[in-house]
Amino acid sequence: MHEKLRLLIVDDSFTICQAIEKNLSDFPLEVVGTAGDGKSALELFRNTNPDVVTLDITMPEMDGILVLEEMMKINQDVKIMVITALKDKATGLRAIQLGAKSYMVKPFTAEKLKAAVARMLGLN
Amino acid sequence: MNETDLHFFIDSTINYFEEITGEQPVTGIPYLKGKEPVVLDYSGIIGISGKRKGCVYITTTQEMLKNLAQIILDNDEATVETIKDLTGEIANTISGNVREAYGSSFMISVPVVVEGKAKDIRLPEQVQAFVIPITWKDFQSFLVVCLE
Amino acid sequence: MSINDKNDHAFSATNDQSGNSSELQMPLLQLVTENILNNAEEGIFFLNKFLELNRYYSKSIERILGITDLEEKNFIDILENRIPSQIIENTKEFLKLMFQDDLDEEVIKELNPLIETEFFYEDEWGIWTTSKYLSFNFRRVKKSDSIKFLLTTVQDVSEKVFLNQKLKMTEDRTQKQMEWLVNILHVEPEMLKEFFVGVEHELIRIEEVLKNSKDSKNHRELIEIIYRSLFIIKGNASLLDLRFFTEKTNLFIEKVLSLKNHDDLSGADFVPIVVSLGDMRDTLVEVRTIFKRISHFHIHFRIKRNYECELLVNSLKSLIKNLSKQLDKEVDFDYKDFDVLTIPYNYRQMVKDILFLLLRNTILYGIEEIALRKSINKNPHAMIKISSFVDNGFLGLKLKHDGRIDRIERMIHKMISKKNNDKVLESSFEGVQVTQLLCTPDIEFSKDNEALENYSMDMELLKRKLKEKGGRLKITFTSEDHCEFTILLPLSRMKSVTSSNSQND
Repeated sequence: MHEKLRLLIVDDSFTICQAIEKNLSDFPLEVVGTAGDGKSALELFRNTNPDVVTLDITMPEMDGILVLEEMMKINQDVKIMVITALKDKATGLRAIQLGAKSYMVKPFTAEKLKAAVARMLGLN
Repeated sequence: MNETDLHFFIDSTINYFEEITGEQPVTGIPYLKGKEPVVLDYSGIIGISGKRKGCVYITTTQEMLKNLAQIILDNDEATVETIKDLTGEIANTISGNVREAYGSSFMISVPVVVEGKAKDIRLPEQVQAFVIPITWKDFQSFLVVCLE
Repeated sequence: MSINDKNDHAFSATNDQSGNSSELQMPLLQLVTENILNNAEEGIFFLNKFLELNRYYSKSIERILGITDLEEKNFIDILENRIPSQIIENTKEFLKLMFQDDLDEEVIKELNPLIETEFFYEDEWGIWTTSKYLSFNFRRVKKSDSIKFLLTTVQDVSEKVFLNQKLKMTEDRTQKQMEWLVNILHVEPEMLKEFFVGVEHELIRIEEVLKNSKDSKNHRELIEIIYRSLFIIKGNASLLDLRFFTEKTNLFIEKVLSLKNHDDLSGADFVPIVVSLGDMRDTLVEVRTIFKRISHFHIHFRIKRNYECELLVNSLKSLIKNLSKQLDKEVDFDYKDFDVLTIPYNYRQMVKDILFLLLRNTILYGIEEIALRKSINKNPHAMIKISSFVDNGFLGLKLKHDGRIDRIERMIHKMISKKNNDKVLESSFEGVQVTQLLCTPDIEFSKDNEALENYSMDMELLKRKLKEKGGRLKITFTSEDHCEFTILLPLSRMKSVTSSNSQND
């Protein structure tokens, strides 16, 4: 049994990927990969079998909603947090309907990210 | 474009900086873009489609981006690649947040980042473009909005 | 063969005289029905009294409505969340009436609410983002005089609706342009051209101040500059009786004035200004386009010189007569020393502009009402005299009137006290200073006296016109009740300006 949960970070901005990794460094999470587009995200997902995913929506190759659907088909137990700039309610509702456990809108602060992840993992 | 549209973009921009840095930027007096280029060191461009069509871009200085990157990455040194990436991310976030007002028929593209002051950004013809000056911590940037 | 279904009574086999042949006909009928339903472009279905669809419906209805397996589905449930709730309520009422035997179908049909109704569809994400316009048509299907079903057809009329919308937009646009066209047709082309140049000039000025504003402390000055430019545009537009432009400028001015009273302005407060500026730019472009299209008519129908000269004097007389009448004033207009024929052709518009401005200004703010003139022992008929001369390479125009001067003196006094210039005495003011003072409008006047503000705005307009052509203005008070304006326009400079203008025609 792993001590740390495996984390996959998916965002086409590597600044955001770095920021997420940095801000969650205190959490019992091990980053198993980062992906900048939908296709490589799915490939990494299949290969690394993460427990937790942070997922952007607006990405090249394949958008996050389709990626979310595919990930949920592969592993229903994965905890996916959608982190996106798209602030409309419909997108958020759709993500939750498809199985995302949490939803956060950019821009986010370190505190907000940590609080949301803690809530999703039941760590608070 | 009407006043409400411009206000959405201004509010989204203020919110971006305030949320990330804790410091509200000052938006200057907007003006109509003429033939002169409005381009600084780096520009992040987003295409808009769906019910509204057009283009939005933010253009800013290397110094501003370095400062912002240092805040986001908690004092890590920002590389050129990080700066370019951040430009696209700012444009993406400002445009994406505006979707709260317009709904999901307001579709935004993946950002394109342009480096350097050499050329003007090509905008849709026959559509007026509005320039919004933004000052954050004495760093000057411009948000240019060109929507039908 | 009968079809056993509670909804399908109407489709049970009829007893005809040869029972056997009806049994043979049924499969054939069924086949024909199926063929029709599978291939019809229109959506076709039957509604029973419970507003449920029976199993006989066309394949295309699934495509049109975006729903499959429609059998026994309730029609109102299908409409739910896809069209506005008010229309759904109206539909329920309408369908209830359609099933009432005692009501005339042709009358009720007029009440059908489902004509060209926007119907919303889910996308692959389950979000309603697309829509079509559908029209539903209902017809009663009777058996033994009793209404059994409503035969319903559905058509996608989106194309028709969009075309109508586009047509309406084009119509509105055309009508607007026609109004503009009618408004500009009466204006001399040269004057219009000059007007456009003037507007462009002022819009560029406004754009520049917006672009170069950096210091928030300068907002008041900025507002004043914008206001002044708009007032000039409005003045020019009124002069030419371009009502649509005047109205647009008025709306713009209101937005500027609404900022005047705020103490703490931010960049975002100027959003209405910049949007109005953009709108005015668009209007200018459109009007210029219309003008270009009609300008060749003007050239073609240009009238003769003599007649043009008569027209100039007649238009001045008309202005005096109409304005005096409106304001309860009487004016004797003396133009015997005004020789129109000595004015070069290409000066005519400029001269007309100047004289119109001065005459209007004089009658509005200089000449007293009849009653007032009588009470101060003046001739109830005021005098306005215009004359022209050529001297030393200048074309000169004079306008003299015997209206009150005290208003001008009060203006000077007001300006001096406002500028806190105690050292300067009114009597020491020279002609140039007087002219400068009078020709520098001050937005603060709008608080105290609109007339003074308008007067000085008009003078500012005059000053600008003259400056562009290298002209000069002199104002003299030759006696207690006597004021004279002298305008000098350089002939040689105007020649080079006008020759370049004519090249541009």
